[in-house]
Amino acid sequence: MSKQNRAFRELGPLVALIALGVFTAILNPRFLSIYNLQTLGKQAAIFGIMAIGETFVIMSGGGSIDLSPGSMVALIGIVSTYMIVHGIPVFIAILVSLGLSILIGLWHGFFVNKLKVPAFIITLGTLTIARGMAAVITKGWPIVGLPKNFVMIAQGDVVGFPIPVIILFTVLLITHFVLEKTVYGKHLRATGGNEVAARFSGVKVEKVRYIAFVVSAFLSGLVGIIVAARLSQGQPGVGGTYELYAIASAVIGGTSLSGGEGSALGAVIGAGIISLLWNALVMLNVSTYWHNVIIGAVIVIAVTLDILRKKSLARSK
Amino acid sequence: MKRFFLVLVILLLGTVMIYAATFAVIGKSVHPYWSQVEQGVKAAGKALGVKTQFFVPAKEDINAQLQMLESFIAQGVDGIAIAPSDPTAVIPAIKKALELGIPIITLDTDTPDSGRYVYIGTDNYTAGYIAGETMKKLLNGKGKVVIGTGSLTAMNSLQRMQGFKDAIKDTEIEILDTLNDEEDGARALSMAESALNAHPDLDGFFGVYAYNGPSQALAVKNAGKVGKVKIVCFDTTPDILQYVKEGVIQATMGQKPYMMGYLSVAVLFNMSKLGVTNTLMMLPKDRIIDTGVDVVTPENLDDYLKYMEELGIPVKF
Amino acid sequence: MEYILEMKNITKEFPGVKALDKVDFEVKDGEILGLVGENGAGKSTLIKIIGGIHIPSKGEIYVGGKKVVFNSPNDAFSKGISIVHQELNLCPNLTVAENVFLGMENLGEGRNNFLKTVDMKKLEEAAQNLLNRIGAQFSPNTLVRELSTAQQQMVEICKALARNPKMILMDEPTSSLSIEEVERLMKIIKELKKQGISIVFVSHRIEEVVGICDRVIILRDGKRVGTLEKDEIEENKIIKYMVGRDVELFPKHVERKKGELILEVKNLKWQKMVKDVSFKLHRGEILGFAGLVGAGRSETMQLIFGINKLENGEMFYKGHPYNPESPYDAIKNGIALIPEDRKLQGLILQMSVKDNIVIPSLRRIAKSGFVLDEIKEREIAKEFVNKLQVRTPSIYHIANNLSGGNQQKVVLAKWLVSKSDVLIFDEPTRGIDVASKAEIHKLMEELAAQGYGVIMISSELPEILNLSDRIIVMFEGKVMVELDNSKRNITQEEIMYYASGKKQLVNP
Repeated sequence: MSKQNRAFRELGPLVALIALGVFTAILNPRFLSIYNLQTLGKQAAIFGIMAIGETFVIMSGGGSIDLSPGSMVALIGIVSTYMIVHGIPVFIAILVSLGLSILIGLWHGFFVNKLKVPAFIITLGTLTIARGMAAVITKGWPIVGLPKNFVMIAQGDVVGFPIPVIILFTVLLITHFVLEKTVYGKHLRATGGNEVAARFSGVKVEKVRYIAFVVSAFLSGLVGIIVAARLSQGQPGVGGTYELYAIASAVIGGTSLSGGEGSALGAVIGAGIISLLWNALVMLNVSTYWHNVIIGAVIVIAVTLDILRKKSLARSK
Repeated sequence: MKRFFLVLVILLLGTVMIYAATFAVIGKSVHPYWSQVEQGVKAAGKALGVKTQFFVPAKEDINAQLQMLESFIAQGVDGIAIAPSDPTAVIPAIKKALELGIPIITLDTDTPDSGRYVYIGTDNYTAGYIAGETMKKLLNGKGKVVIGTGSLTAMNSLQRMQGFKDAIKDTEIEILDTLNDEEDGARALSMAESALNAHPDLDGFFGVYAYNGPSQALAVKNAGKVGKVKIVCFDTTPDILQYVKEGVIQATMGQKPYMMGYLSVAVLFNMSKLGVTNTLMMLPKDRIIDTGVDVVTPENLDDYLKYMEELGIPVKF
Repeated sequence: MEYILEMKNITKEFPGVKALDKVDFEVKDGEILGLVGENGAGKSTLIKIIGGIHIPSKGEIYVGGKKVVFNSPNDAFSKGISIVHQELNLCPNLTVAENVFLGMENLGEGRNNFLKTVDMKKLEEAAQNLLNRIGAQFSPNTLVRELSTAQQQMVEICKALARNPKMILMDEPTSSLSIEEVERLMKIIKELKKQGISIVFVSHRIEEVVGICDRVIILRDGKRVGTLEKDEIEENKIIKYMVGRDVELFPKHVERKKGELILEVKNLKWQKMVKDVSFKLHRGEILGFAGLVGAGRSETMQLIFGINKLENGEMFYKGHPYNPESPYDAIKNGIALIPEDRKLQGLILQMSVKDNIVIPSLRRIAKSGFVLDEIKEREIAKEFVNKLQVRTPSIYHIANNLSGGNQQKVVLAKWLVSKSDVLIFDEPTRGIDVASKAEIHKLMEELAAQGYGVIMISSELPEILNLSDRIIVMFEGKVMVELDNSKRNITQEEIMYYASGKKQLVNP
């Protein structure tokens, strides 16, 4: 991918996002109310942060994919709130929960790198196990009675910007820098692009993948905390199928499922599109029976259009 | 030869000693609601001196239920109560059990065509109708309402909504939208927020599933519209009762899962001791036992809590 | 009619490029026709038109004197034209017989649809007949994945024969065969000619074309630039037509000084591929490794480069014991491998030339070890692109779009940037056009003269003989002999003798 090409990589999905926004705003001006934009921002933060993690994993190539984010959201949400209601200080509970997320990422990396278990399988295992553990810990009951300083993580705002949105932008800034400006980012692209050649060039392919899985698990855990704070409770059932939205967001944002290509910004734009749809379909009073049909169609159209656009770009070169 | 007889005698003795009637109850998912059912099942088992087995899949999963049902049939238990996640899919298995002489009843969710002997549960239509009546009173027969639910296909959801709609049919209450969050608490919250945005003149929310009420309550609270937007919802999880206490939720339909569990075992016990025909003669002709709902409001909350404590299932929040 | 296939005035345009420009092409009954040309000369476009994959923009095609239009590969098939592609298209999970008759399980009788039952016995008999025709030794019910590349190619030829062709076109059939296997293929081709089948032999190995062809057609820049009849076929004539000027394949040998000992390996062993290998490498020399495919040459180098872990033996690098855990270790020490399979092992194809060049050195170039320094990367990439004369529109061009020769230079550049001391070339000029080949040879000589320790594995004997100062011949994982070639006096026969496993050379 040439330099010029890369600068415009997120253009397609960005245009789609803006077009959807403008369309909705024209039909219902209340779409642009501060309160609604905050709602939208919080939702986009949830999907966006997960999609960034997913982007790291998918970029690392070799068929890597992370199916665990949705269940991780439930598990880490439960673990953190469980600790908090059992008297552990909020700060420490969060640190421990994120630590657990990192361990789960390492666990994925270990199976993929050392035991050569396909990422699909090991993360599918986590999808079931994490969801199951959340149910085991809670017996299905929501964990309630969370202190204000925890709930603030998702319900507070700074000059109108919801804290989840601020977290999203922080994560985006850091990951964008890592992917575009650091040796790790380059090695990640190389590993995904051609694992053998990367290894032959002295890239520590295993280490690169370990980090990708850890980033994804860590960010899913972070989202778990945000979601728990947003709902004011730990819910064992939350986040089902979120992994699919995370994968779809990453792909809409230009991540190639075969690895090597992808961007954090694109993933966030992809997440923005899906979140905007969730919001807009309600704002536009579309019958709820149609919601999933439309979301699915938009995902297919967005990805197809982008692939066609890239093809025509490549041809005109 | 001598030795063989000795073993045989010991085995026979053992069987007789261990043998006590065993009743199996299959619920739908890991959820507080089903924990209460389990409590009822256990209490009944203890009171009647029989063994009980309670099973729920981690998430709603008709396949897991079927496998469990078949393995209970294979074990030759003395009676089974099941809450089928899919009322048609279980029909063959239920018919097979009945052929083998194992009494089967349904609880919570019915499947009348299967030939099950009795259904014990909330009459969801009636409960929805009561919710509608409650809403009618709260809004003085005039206003705009949005419904939040987790399914547009599940029987219980459809019946509750139908009952609700029929109760407000001849009033000036208008249903603006029905929002399906596919049983995802975070999405339910997003949708409730979006609905508040889309309809600034909204007067009421009707929450069909247990988590819908708290999601709507949180959205209403955050928007500063407590009391202005009335909430009528289902179930009595601690978070719902907390919102009732705060006056954010005006009324919730408390189902009686404990009763369902207790009655299921009691009915099955009777069938195995007195025979199926004798038991059915004592029951209503339509073979439906409606456990009814408690309408819990801020006014009668204390009485309700006291009642639950007497049952041995105190709700803490 | 004398011609089996005649193509007149064929022009093929792609957006922005004219791949073929009014090319005439004709195949005579029962001849072996050579088709040569550099990469990009239009060979593959012409082959695809013959195979019905591309449709020409202009021009006519005649088969047996009748005008035809090829719209799909099946059209070409049905007119008796078969193609054996360079990349073999076999299903490794099926048997030889199943592959040969894939798509014609009915053996050409009646309709072939999914509901037809397959008579495996009949298929295997028919396949055995075809295998006999070309003298293949393996059984028709062997799984293809168990066959060597050369054997798989025979399956492809049988697959072509199964369709009763009048003409078989072989696209670069020798590119992954050993010397012995090439000889066997040549025999098969001559045998097919006897059976009355015309052969179009497409190859970049000019010595093979000279050896077997009755007539040669040469393409350059999408045009037919020359035709050589049997008695005119000569290597330098072909090269001149191909390149458009005289090219010296091997640079004049300049004496260079052998420097200090840099790498020594003793009794290396790894699985069954490397049994006992010892040698020394000095700065300032090219050490050539000759041998048949499977002699363990590449595997030996993979031990030195840390891809596989040594099971037995010792290595010393710059006087110290050396035992790399991974390529990362080898590179850190200054040992570089220019691998055999550029596209798979050497390059990350969808990355830019610049990214490929700097990737092993990123950490060193980066600010404080992890923040990329775009400016410095660009400077370095530009410097080496100029130094090695890599022909690319810009350093941001993706590596996939370069020709083989330029790709190889990019691989080499990345190791020069990473400050290596030992350069290991595995088949450095495989699949590379004639002009670039000469450039790479010149570069290798220069690098040796600058004091790099250079190791070269090659299956092209002229390359070994002309470039190496010393030659090690391997056979079945062992070093057979080490020959001094400082006078460039070793002959092809000598090497072949040792490469086939014989110990002592009596009366060469």
